[in-house]
Amino acid sequence: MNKEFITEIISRAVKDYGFRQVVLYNIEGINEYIETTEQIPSELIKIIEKKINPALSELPVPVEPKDQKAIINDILFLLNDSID
Amino acid sequence: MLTDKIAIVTGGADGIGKAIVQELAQQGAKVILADRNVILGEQVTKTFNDNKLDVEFQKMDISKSIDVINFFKIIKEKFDVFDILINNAGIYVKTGKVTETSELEWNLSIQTNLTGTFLCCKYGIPLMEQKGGSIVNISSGSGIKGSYNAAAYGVTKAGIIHLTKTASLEFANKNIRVNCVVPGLIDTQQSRGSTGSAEAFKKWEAGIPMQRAGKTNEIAPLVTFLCTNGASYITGSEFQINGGSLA
Repeated sequence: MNKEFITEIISRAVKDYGFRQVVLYNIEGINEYIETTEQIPSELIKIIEKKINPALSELPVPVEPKDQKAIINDILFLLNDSID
Repeated sequence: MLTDKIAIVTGGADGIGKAIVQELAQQGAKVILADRNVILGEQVTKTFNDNKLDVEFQKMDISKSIDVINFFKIIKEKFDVFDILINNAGIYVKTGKVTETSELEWNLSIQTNLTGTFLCCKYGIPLMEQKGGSIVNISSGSGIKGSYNAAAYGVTKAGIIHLTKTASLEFANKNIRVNCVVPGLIDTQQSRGSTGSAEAFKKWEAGIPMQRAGKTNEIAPLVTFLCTNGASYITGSEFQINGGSLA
């Protein structure tokens, strides 16, 4: 699991309400459809569920384009200690 | 009108599904509100109960086969049979052109919208065969007309229309009617979220002949009608509600 991939997942979850629902309620389902080498480790899934999802579930709908970058950075900051 | 009927609404915690739950319950049905969002599902159910509506929450993620199987096991144990199934749950994952759509985006869309609806039919219909009943699948205008950058979503919604027609043929002799409601742009979290900005949503609305998005309570009455005796000879049909978008 590299930092770019998890950044992409968080970015998508902020920008795309539909993808956000997947992260919120079925993040382990993402692993079913991606290469084994890119799969989200179970420990990171737990961290996302614990630290990220509460923030994602509070986001406005939609997140306006002008606000997206700052929100993505804020959410990624929550993960800083957990990804390489 | 629906007294003594037991209804199941997938994706019932929000948007169109929530409005359908309310309408069915107001017409006298006992409604099982199924959703994967437990917090919202329980909260919405409590509000309905506070308003004297007979609604019960049951967690189900239709994208997971085991969830669907377990859900209908619980329904079988509790009620033995049921009368009405509204396959409403679905997601819209943003994609690019066909060539830009990732396999992840494609599979997530198919698994939830199409496979999820199929699974609910596969495991739900056996509990309807004894008494007969009504199934209403919720599709989308994208399932009828091509939409830019929405191949995955559109294919799932077109598939739902076809699933409707096939199931209607296969179970007409069991008095199970299967119909499809095809909404256009409806003002929900999902449609606002998928447009990407308030400005883009307004532009979409401006392109509709009636120049506005529909409301969830403009979908629920037709869905409910299709579940009543008034619709007793209607099956295998699709009904568009879109402010004239596909006229």
